[in-house]
Amino acid sequence: MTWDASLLWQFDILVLLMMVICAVTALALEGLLSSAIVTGVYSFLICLMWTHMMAVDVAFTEAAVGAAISTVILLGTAQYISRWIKKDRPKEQGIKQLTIIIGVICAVMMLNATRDLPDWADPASPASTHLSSGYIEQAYHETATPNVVTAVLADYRGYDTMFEAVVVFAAALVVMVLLRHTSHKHRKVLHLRPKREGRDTVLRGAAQSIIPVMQIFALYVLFHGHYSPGGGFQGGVIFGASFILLALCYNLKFSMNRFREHAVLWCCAGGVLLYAGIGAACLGLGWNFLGYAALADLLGVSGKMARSHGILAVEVGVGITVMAVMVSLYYDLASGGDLEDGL
Amino acid sequence: MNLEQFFIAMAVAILFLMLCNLYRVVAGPTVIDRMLGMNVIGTKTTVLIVLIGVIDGRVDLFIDITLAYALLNFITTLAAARFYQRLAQPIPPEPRESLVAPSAGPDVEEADVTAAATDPSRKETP
Repeated sequence: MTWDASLLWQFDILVLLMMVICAVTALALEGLLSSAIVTGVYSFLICLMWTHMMAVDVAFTEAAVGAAISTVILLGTAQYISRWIKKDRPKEQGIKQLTIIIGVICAVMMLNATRDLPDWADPASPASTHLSSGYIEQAYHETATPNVVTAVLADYRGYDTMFEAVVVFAAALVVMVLLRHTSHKHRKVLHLRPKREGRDTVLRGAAQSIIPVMQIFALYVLFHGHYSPGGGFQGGVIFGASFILLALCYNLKFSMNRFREHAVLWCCAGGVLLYAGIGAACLGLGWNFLGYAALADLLGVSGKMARSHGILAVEVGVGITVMAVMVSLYYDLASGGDLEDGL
Repeated sequence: MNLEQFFIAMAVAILFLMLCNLYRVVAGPTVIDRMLGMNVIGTKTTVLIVLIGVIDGRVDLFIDITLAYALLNFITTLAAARFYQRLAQPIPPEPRESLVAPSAGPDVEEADVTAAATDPSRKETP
């Protein structure tokens, strides 16, 4: 058997097969807890896929979000809604079938569209011939940032990233608006929630020793994003996950005493504000919005180092927003909006 | 057989082992089986990412991802265990005098309580 190290198609086929199995199983299983667990497995597999494609930053995001946030938020939501689910409700069966029909139609359309896509790593594809080469050749000389992905993300495509941060912020706002407005009857129903019991000595000891490591690692990921995969989003997610871990090992009240509701809200808005504020400062100094080279005189460094520092500053802004939004989503979804008791 | 082929063979072998765990996740009769299967798959993913890094010769890029997995992998398992812990408990009797929502009366059914079944070890704890 000959091995093709560059493609390693056996690997791809096995991972894809497992992903399809996971997706079908997650739909077919009855319990919400089981479905959430299978979704977590799916996240591991897709991270492997991206790692194998050398999309390292994407894989890092998937690792942070998939391992720490998405399944936890799914479980929190499941815990909240499982109080209302009635089995064999005919209306929901109709909705399920409608979802399957829409999903199949979308899948067929997307599979049809993939025929027009260039081959994987095709050097003749438009993206490789026009855009990527320019970034790869110029990014380091213009921004002094060895990781091209970070340079593209926060400098060349700074607008996109800023509005991504705004979208994340908006997601937290929407969840808050939807869930905090708990009417009287919902409050009564959540009152029936069983209390968590036990002392959790091992868990608390583990949390005490691992949470500082996690937070330092998050800061490393955030500030080392210029040189290695990582950056504001990944660092923010890991930092937020440390508070979620605190809430899981102790309880929601304990975590909320450490990171209070007001602080979460301030951080949610403050990160986006920091990002936009740096953009506006560049505008005020006579350059384009988010043209970090304007900060050169202010910082007393050369133009390309100013761009590097500007990237770092906006990454910090993204990190603060993402961290606070993840914590806020957990607080709201796991407690059903009343912030009394979480997962 | 050179070292690279050895690593590739190892990666594919670990992938097959992951497939075995996936069987437990998909078929697992109880939720506990699924949780354990997911945890093991996460551990294997960590190893596989390092192996891919070694095969591609850029292991420095992948170490951070594996560190993130090593730090965060058990949070999902912990959340699932908390979820299970609550659902395995009986719902406390609802206060009669309070206004219980009409949509969630006494006939509210637990989504997972059948799968969670009753846990005999729970009774032993004081």
